[in-house]
Parts: sequence; C-alpha cells; structure tokens
Amino acid sequence: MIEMTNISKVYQMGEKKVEALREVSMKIEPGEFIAIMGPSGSGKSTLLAIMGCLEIPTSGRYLFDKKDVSNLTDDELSLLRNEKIGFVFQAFHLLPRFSALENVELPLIYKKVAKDEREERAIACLKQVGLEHRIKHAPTQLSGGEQQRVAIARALVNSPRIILADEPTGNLDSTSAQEVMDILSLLNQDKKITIAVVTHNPLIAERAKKVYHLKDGQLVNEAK
Amino acid sequence: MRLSDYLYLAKKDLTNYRLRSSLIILCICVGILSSTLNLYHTSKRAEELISSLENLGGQMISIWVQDKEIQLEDLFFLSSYFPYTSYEVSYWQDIRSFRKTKISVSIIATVPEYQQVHSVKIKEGRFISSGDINHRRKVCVVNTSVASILKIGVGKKIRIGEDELRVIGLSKEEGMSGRVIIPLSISNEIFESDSRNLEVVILTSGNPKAVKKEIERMLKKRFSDKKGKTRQGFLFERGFIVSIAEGLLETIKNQRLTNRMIVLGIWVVTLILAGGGIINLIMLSVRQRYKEIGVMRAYGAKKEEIFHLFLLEGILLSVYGLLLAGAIGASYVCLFGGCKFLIFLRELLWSSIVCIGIGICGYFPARLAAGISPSEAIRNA
Ligand SMILES: Nc1ncnc2c1ncn2[C@@H]1O[C@H](COP(=O)(O)OP(=O)(O)O)[C@@H](O)[C@H]1O
Ligand SMILES: [Mg+2]
Repeated sequence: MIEMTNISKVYQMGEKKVEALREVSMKIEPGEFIAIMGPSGSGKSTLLAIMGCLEIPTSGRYLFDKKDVSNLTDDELSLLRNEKIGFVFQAFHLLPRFSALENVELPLIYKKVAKDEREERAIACLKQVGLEHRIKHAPTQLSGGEQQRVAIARALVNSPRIILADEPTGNLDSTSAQEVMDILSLLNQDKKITIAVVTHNPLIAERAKKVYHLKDGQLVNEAK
Repeated sequence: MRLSDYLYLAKKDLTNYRLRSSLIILCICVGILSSTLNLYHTSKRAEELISSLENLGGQMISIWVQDKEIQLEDLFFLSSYFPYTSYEVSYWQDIRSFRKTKISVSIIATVPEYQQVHSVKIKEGRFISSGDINHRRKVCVVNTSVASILKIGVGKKIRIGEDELRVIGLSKEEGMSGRVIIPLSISNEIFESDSRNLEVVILTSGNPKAVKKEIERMLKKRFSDKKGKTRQGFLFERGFIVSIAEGLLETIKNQRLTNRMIVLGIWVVTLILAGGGIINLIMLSVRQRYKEIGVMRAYGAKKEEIFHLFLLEGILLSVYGLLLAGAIGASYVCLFGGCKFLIFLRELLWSSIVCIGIGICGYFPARLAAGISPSEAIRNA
C-alpha cells in the first residue's frame, strides 16, 4: 500500500533549515491500522502530509500502490488524493457555509459526479457515521464529535484506499473520541480500509495494530 | 469539475460577501449603463441623420458663395438643371416676441424647395410657399425650440429688428437650436448686416462626385464669361466652395469621436473602481478561505479548478452588472429612448468590453488562490 524509503523533509525558514523528517522508512500493508505517536514538533503531521501527497519529500522514495509518487504532476496528485485518500483533521476543517451533506459531497464535485448521485452517496456515508438526522445542519449547529463524524463521512465518500487522520480526537471529549475511534475501527474491519492515525493518546493508539514513534523527525522504534 | 458546480460554489461564496458584491455589481452596472446610453444616443442620432439623407434618395451638395459681388440670383440658373435646389441666406440675429423675450437665432431666407432638400417636417401650419416669395409676404416658419422659448404659435408675430413677421408654420427639428425661416425675397429688407452666408444646396440622386464636377464646370464657365478673364482664376478659387454634404457626415463623425472619448473615460473609471473592488473582494475571500482552499486541494481540487473558481467569481459579478445594465437600459430605451433595440444591443456589446477588463482584474487574486500550498493551509488553520 505505502512504502517509504529514507524519506527526509527539510523546510527552509529563511536562512535556517528545519529537518522535519530524517531518513524515515516504513511500510503500510493494505488493510492495516497503524498509529503514529510522538511529541509535538516531532514531524508527525509532516509524515502524514507526505503520505497524503500534500507534501513532496526532499529526498527518499515514496511508493503509493507501487507507484512512484515523485513522478506525478500536481494534477495527477490531486486526482490520486481525490480517489484514493481520505483526510481527517484535528480541527475538522468542514466548510463553514456548507451543510453536512454539502460538505460530504465536496470530494465528489471534483470527480465530476452528478448532483443526484452525489447526494445519494453522501447520504449513505452520513448514515454510516450515524448522522442521517443531521444532513441539513451547518457545521456550527453540530457538536465537535458530530463535526468529526461528518469529516469522516467526507473522507469515506470516494471509497478511498486509505484514511489519514491527524489527531482526529485532539479536539474532542473522551466519549466523542471513543465514538470517532469506533467508527474508524469499524471501517478498518468491515471495509478493509487502511487507516493511519496520528495521536498523543495511548488509549487511542491501542486500537492500532502497529504503533510508530517519532522523535525529532526520526522513527524511534516500532512497538506492539 | 462541472460548470454547474463551479457556478454553485462561486455563488455560495459571493452570497457570503453580499454587500461588497452588490456594490461592485452596482458600480459595473452604472459604468456600463452610462457608456451604453451615451453611445446609444449619438449612434441613434447619427443613424437618423444618415437615414434621412438616404431617404431622400440623394446626396446634398453645397455651394458656398464666398465672393461678395455674386448674388444668389446669379445662381438661379442651377434650378433648370437640378429640380431640388434650395437658395439660402443665413444670418444670426436676435428676435423678439411681443412679450419682449429675446433670443438669438439663425435666420434663413430661402425658397420652398428648402423643405424637400432638408426634409423639414412641419408640425403645424405650412412652409414658405412660392406665393410668399412672389408677394414678399412678411411671414416665417419657426422651429419648436423658438416657439417654446418665445411661447408663440402659428398666427402669432415675432419681431426681427423693426420688422414684424407672422408665424405661418412650426417645423419639427429635433435637438436643433433656434431657427427661423423666411421668404428669400424679403431677406434684403430684414437683414441688417452684410456678413451673411449665401449657400445653394442641391439634392441630387446622381453620383455626388460627378455632379460636383459638373457644377464646378458650369460655375467656371458662367462666371468667367460674366466677370471677365482677368479675375477668373481668382473668382473661381475664392468665389465658391463646392462640397458634397460631407460637412454633415463629418460633424456626425466628429461628434461620435468626442463621444467615444467620453465613453473611454467612463470605461477607465469603471475599470478602476470595479476592477479594484473585485481584486479587493477576491483577495479578501482568498485570505478568509485560506484553510478552505487547502481542504479543497486535499480533497482533490486541481490548481486550475481553484483558479477557475475564483476567476469565475469576478466574471459572475461583471455578468450580473452587465445584465442589470442591460435590463435597466432596455427599459429606458423602450420607454424614453426611441426603441432602437439593435443599436442599443450593439452599444451594450461594445460597453461590455469593460467586463473583459474586470475579468482580467480577477486573474491575479485567482492565481494567488491557486498557488496556495494545501499542506501549509491546513497546518496553519
Ligand atoms: N512549512 C513549514 N515551514 C517550516 N517549518 C515547518 C513547516 N512545517 C513544519 N515545520 C517544522 O517541522 C517540524 C515538524 O512539524 P510537524 O510535522 O507539524 O510536527 P508534529 O505534527 O509532530 O507536531 C516542526 O519543527 C515544525 O516547526
Ligand atoms: Mg501535528
């Protein structure tokens, strides 16, 4: 599914260079559920952004589905993200003026799916996360847990190969966090969707089959 | 992304900035409307003048008499060659009504043919007749602007110097300044000064250039006989100016040119205001939606799709402005403007050039939006 070899990422901050990742190598098999832990600033988000083809690594090789991503154009990367990757963020990142349904429809717009089919598929996904009664609600009318579930429905709507979640429970109370993690676990078990979660919370990490620890941009050890 | 979805997303954003969007639309509308109506009015007038020339089935050829020794009577022979020949003496002078209202008008002493040659429309009463000429009647035809300023009508009298003239007709001449037409035969009694213009206007259906040549040949022949050889060259070069009615066409053209300059000015102002407004609005929108753009890109929006979306927002505003201007302009033209819809549409099309400029203004902020890095936008949210 994902194969990273000696991935490094250097950010140029004026004169200063920040090494966000150093020689990270990892492999994620299809259907795996992995967690990435580490102190803040250790490069977790950077790693996830590279996995999600939002960032280009400074060096190293990244194969997504056995395809070398560095050869793809910006448009091809967009297409890859659209069709194969679902993102879930700590701050939900729902579009504020759009209803829950419209938010979930968004990825399908870029896939040129017609309005009717879009709604149908979005409603199905909202049902999967237990929000069929909140379809017309605006994000501000939803609780944090509900917003994150809408975000998961949005990540799901294009039937992705992998869902990348960057601290998905970071802004949630423990009950909502459990609900969200239950949904992700279920998707992994039932739909065999590969899932990578960044988290600080060891309880959350426990659900993963593999946990990677990052420190100063380096993989420390693989536990579990 | 489908076009319908572009529209859907763009409209959603614009409604978020309702006040700003409305102001920009209004600005574009006012700019386009004023330039369109400006162009419309001159074009309509020009077209009417040209078509009235064409309706007569001919072209006007003017002979301006420059030589003080030549009288209009010396040119009467032209009538036997050209049936539509009008002899005119014109002069600027003050006239008064009996209420002592005084205005300065152009007085034209002429013959009945004047009416056909210049296609004068009579609103009330009649034009100068050959009887008026033969009996040297002290009558006149005034145009509507004179009648309304002096508050007079057919049957009333006006004063020119010490003479009293009875108004026998009201002529309809749109947009003309004051004009009083009197019989040619009384011009010597009425006019006080020598500095008057003598002009013969011939309406011909022939090839204007050939007719002009013919007239020049005739004049040359006749006046070299009459005035003697010594002055012939002088006479002919200084004696007459024969011109095809380009005078009129030229003034129309000049009028259109100054009009175009005004319109250009309106365009520039509109472009600066609306274009600046659109840059400002889209910049604001891009800044406020920085995070959203990142999310859209993460979920598969291509750079170009983001670019087109923001570009479309600017284009939508100018299209709305254009439609609004079109609707208001069309109702105006329909109600007060003479209903020349084709001319209106043509000028509206011209004015919509501004929209292209405004669209270009949207280009820069849209490029900016397209260049946003998704990972940075999401991280910095
Ligand atoms: N765009 C950027 N420019 C400069 N430095 C960056 C940028 N993105 C991340 N960094 C730096 O890279 C390091 C890793 O960041 P990040 O991956 O966000 O860590 P984490 O998610 O583990 O907290 C941090 O020191 C951060 O300051
Ligand atoms: Mg982070």
